[in-house]
Amino acid sequence: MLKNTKTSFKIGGSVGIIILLLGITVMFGMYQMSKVSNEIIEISQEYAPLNEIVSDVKFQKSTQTTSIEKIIRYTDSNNLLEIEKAKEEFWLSGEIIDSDIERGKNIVNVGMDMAKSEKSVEEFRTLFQKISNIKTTHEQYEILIGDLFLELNYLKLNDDLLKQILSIENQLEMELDGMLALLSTLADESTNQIEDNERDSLTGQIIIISIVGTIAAALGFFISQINNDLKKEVDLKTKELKTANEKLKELDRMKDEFIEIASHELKSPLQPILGFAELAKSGDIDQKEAWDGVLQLTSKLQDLANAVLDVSKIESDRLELQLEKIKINDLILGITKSQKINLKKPVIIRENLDENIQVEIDKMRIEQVLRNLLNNAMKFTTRGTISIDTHVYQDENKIQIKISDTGLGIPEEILPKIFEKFVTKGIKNMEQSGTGLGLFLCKGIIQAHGGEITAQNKFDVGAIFEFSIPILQKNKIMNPSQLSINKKL
Amino acid sequence: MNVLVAEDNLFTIQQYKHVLEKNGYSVTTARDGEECMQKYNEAFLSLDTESIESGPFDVVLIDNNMPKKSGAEAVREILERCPNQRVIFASAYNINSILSAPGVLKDSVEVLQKPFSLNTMIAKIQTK
Repeated sequence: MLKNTKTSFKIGGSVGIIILLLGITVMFGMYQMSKVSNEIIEISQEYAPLNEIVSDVKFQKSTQTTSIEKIIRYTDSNNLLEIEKAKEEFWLSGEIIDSDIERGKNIVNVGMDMAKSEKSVEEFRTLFQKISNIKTTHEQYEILIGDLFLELNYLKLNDDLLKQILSIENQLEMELDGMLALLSTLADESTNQIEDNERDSLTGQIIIISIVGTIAAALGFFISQINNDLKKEVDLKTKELKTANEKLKELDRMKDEFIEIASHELKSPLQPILGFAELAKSGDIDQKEAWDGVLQLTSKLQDLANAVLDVSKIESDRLELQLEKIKINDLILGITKSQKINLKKPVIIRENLDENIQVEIDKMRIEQVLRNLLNNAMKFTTRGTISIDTHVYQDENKIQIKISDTGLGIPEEILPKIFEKFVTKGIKNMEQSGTGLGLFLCKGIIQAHGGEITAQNKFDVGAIFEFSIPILQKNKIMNPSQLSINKKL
Repeated sequence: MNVLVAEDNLFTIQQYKHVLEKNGYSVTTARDGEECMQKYNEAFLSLDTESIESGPFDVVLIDNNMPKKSGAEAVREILERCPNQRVIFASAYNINSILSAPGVLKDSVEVLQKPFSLNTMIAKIQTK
C-alpha cells in the first residue's frame, strides 16, 4: 500500500514539475519580450522626430542662406522692397530654427529620462551637447548676419564679415550633418539592438524549451520506468494474493473437513448412549450394564471434546504454556508407575533414563504427550517391551525422549501423515481406537515448546516415537509463529 | 429374515444385534469393511441362482466409517455383485456427503442418520 502511494506521488510529482517548467518558460519569454519593447523600442522611437527636426533645421538654414543671397543681390540693385521681404523670410526661418532646437532639446531630455542603461544616457548626453552646439553656432550666425544687415544699410560689404559668416555657416552645416549622422547611427544601433535582443530572447527560449523538453523526455522515461515498477508490483501482489487465496481455500477446506470429521466423532458415541438408554428403559439389558456403558462413552466424549478444543487452540496459535522447571525423570517415573499398575498384558515397561535434570516445560502438556505416546504403545503392543529412553544434550540445550515398543508398528501408508488429524482412525479396532487427534496434539505441544517429534518403524518389530525439547526455554513467552503445526511431518 | 450388520463400535453392534434378534431377525455381524465383505461373500456362495440379484441378505445395515474398508467401498462391491441388494447406511456423517461419495448409488441406498432410536431402525428395516 505504502509502496503504491509512493509510486503515485512519483507520477504526480513528475507531471507537476513538467507543467511548472513549461509555465516558467512561457513567463520568462514574455518577460524578456516586454523588457525589450519597454526600453529599447521606446528610446528608438525618440530618434525619428529628432531626425525630422534636425533635417528641418537644415532646410530652414538653407532657406536663410538663400534669403541672404537675395538680400546681397537686391542691395546691389537697391530694391528695398525685396530686401525687406528677404529679411523677413530670414528671421522667420530663424524663429522656426529656434523653435525646432527647443523641441529637439525637449525630446532629448525626455529620452534621457527614459534611458535606464548607462550607454543610452551617454548617447542622449552627446545628442544634447550637439543640439546645444547647434543652437550656439546658429545664434553666432544670426549675430553675424545682424551685423551684416547693419553694414548693408550703409551699402557696404565687409569681406571679413562675409568670410566669418561663411565659416560659421560651414560649421553649422557640419554640426547639423554630424548630428544627422549620429542620429542615423543610433537609429541603426537601436534597430540592431532590438534584433539582437529578440534573437537572444528567442535563443534563450529555444534553450529553455529544449531543456524542458529534455527534462520532460527524461521524466517520461522515468514515469515509464515507474509504470513498469508499478506493473511489476501489481503483478507480484496479484500473485501473492492468488497464493494467499489458494492457501485460504485449502485452509477452509481443511477446516470444513475437520468440522465434518469432528462432528462425526462427537455424534458417534451418542448412538450407543441412546441405545443403552432405550434398552435399559425397555428392560432388555441390565441397568448397571447400561450405566457402565454410558459412563465409558461419555468419558470418551469428554476426551474428544477436550482434544477438539486443544486442536482449535493449536491451529489458532492460542496454546498457552505454563512453564515451570520440572525434574524430568520424576515426571516420567510418575507416569510409568500408574501405567504399570493398570497393565493387563504381558508387556514390560522399561525406563532407561539419563541424568534427572530440571527441564523448563508445561508439566501438564508434556505429561499429556508422554501419556498419549505410552497409551498408543500399549494399545498396539500385545507382548514384549515398551522402553522409555532419555538423553540429555546439555551443550545443545535439549533433552531427547524416545518411546519404543514391540507392537504392530505403523502401516506404511499412514506413516507419512501420522501426525495429521484423524488419520489414525480406521486402522484400529474398537479397543485401539482413540480420538484420532492425540498425535496431532503431541506434535502441536512439542512444537510449542520449541521442539520436534518424529515417528518411525523399527527394522524388526514395533514403532519408535521420539521427541526433543529445549532444557531451558529461550523465550518465556512463546512466539505464536513457533506453534505452526503444518510444517514437515 | 437375514440381516448383515457392519459396525465398528462394539456397544452399537451389540445393541443392534440385541434388538434385531428380539424382533425375530437372524443377525450376522462384522466389525470392519473387510470382515463385512468376507461375511457377505460367504453367504453369497450359498445362494441359489434365483436370488443372486437381490443378494444373500434381506438387509445390509452398514456403518460408513469403518476400519480397513469404508462402508461406501463395501456397498459399491456389494451392489456390483448383487444390484438389487437392499442396503441401509447408518452413519453419523452428513447424508449428502455419503451419497456423493464415489461408488454409492443414490437411488438404491437408504440412509439412517446417527444417532437414531433403535425402534426407528427396526421400523426402517420392516418398511419396504
